[in-house]
Amino acid sequence: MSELHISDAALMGQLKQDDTRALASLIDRWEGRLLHFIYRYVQNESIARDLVQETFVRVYQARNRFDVKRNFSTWMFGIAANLCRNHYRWLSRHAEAELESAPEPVDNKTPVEQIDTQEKSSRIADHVRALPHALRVALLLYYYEDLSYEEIAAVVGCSIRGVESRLYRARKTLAARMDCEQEAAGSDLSKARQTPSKLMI
Amino acid sequence: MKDKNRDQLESRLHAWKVELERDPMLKAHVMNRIATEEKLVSSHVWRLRWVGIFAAAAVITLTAFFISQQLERTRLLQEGGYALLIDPVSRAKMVSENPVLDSEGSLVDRLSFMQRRLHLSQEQFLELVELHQGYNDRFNLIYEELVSLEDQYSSFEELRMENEAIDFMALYDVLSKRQECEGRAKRLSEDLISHVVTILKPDQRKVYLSMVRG
Repeated sequence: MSELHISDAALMGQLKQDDTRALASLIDRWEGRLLHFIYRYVQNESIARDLVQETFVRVYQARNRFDVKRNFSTWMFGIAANLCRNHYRWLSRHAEAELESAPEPVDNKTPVEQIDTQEKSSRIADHVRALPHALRVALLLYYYEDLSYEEIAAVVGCSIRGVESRLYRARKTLAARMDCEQEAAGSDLSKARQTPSKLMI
Repeated sequence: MKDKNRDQLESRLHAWKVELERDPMLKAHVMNRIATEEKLVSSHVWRLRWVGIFAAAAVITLTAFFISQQLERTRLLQEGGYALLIDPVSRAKMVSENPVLDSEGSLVDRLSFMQRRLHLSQEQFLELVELHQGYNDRFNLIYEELVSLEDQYSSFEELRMENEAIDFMALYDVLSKRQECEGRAKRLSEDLISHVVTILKPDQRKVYLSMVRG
């Protein structure tokens, strides 16, 4: 049977037998999604890569506690989310540690469009980063990892209603921040329009 | 939240693209970390095992020491108890220091330790009890005589401490009697011991003599 057909639970079963090839398969399978989830959370590439590594180390260390009836991805995202939260707690105690700027992908848009997209992405990233842990995890898993309410509930350890509530609060918070942003942009624009007339006088 | 706003928000969220390349060294890094930490854990386990072994050894040593102390104390008490029985001089000294020691018990009880210590047969033990019984009254008489002489000597001491005027001839008389009494006690003890050894086998005799002669 090829590795692609082996379920995550079966790979965890092999890992429990200390077969580290199973861990290699899980890394192949999950590295990309995990890296993107963690990156969106911490918004720092090198820290995200360190946390991905740490997540797989923890998966290995906790392999005997994994219940094969559970969904592996929710268990793994749970570990990753906890590591992200711990990282932020550590950062709050070590204020001197700075976050590096987040690199943005380059696509085939015109330079003006690219700048516009980058600005928008950068702003939404800032708004997401400002969300509390519980709202941020729910939002990232829902919009970027396509996890169902049930799966998110398993990751964050709450009910499905709790997930709905968190997503609603996250959206509301983001919308409020975007409104403020638009208002600020609007007032800047009107000031810019007024400035040339003053100069003409 | 209105649908339009929600759509706008979701389109902004979906516009946030992240495209990071996979780390080709990730597996190697993870495996190295695991190997290093397992090595660390196993060295900790070994360290803990050694600590455990040393702690257990220390506990065993202390327990053994405590037990040996208790056994030694029991042995001394038993031998002291035997001295009370066969040596009126020692009995007088020990009882004057600690009157509780002069508790009366049956001869069988007081000699039962010897049956265990010397591995005596029942016949030997009964013979031993009978032998001691024959000497018991004589030892008691000498003991009472020694106590009386000790009291007289103490009276002289008290008198000397108060006015220093004592009858030295009377004191000499008391001391001479005490010396003579102690001599009798010693001879009687030796006599008993010499009879006891006839009941014992050579190996028992050796233990018994080391017990009574220190």
